[in-house]
Amino acid sequence: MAAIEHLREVETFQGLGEEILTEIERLAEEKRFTTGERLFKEGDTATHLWVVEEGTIDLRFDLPGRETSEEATLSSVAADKIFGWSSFVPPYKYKLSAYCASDQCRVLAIERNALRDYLTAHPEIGYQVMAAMLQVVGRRFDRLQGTAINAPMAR
Amino acid sequence: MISLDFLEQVDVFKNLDDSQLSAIQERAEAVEFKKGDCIFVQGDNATDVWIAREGDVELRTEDPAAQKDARAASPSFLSKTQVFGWTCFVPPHTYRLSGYCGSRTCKVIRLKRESLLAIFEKDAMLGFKVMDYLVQTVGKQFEELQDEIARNRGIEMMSQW
Repeated sequence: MAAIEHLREVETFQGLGEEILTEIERLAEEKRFTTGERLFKEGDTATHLWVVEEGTIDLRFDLPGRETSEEATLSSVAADKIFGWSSFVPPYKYKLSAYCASDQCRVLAIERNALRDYLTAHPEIGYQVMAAMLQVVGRRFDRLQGTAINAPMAR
Repeated sequence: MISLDFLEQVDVFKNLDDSQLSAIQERAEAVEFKKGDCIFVQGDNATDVWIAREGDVELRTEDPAAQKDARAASPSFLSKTQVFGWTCFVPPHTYRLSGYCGSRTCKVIRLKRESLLAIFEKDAMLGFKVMDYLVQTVGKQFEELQDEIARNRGIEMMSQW
């Protein structure tokens, strides 16, 4: 499946025309990882918005002096979903580390500054993408809040 | 009528030019509440986005399960120029908390979602700027909650070592 086919399925880019998706594809670089490999670490400058093309990405918190483990996974991201939207939230730092959790992971890394420049230059697209992004972030926030309430944290 | 001077202080409208602020102004309705008045109820159809002008707006959960969790049960207080009710832009378009007036009086601005969406359609740059700001606001709230969950889960993990 070509990168553009995945972009078409991503919540934030659904409904965009072929030409626009091709432009966004140009801003993206395809990367491959194998199980256990880290894509970025917590605290890194969030320079990219990521799309999973194949496999599963675990988002984990790091514990000082410890190897990463599945126990530290806060969420898993499957094909055609985005992650790394900290690249749109000041201070633009990744808040968790991302690891390839399947045998193979294929992802698209979309350069944040280039994407923002493109959206600003084409505000009709920018509006559509950011409105969809708000829905993604809002839904995930609701889910996260539900998780926290169903499994209350030690205080 | 809400002044442009006030609107330009509202974070979500910063970076808007005067014509964009005027478009918002035309659709902004000033509403006043007294202490204890309910502004909206959790689960209600979220038709409006709100901005605090004066007084303290209290956001709190009505969910009995959430009330058992100290963090979720703690009300949030919003003060001048803060935006609330952003879930009107997120399906299923229901308020996720209830809003009450927490001070002697509360002056707020009500903006109907449908009229905002109509001006965003006409002026996409305005829509882009507002949505961009809301992504930052909601994203920040998400990250704060995620940090807290990670911190607590980390403490639990370390206590088992």
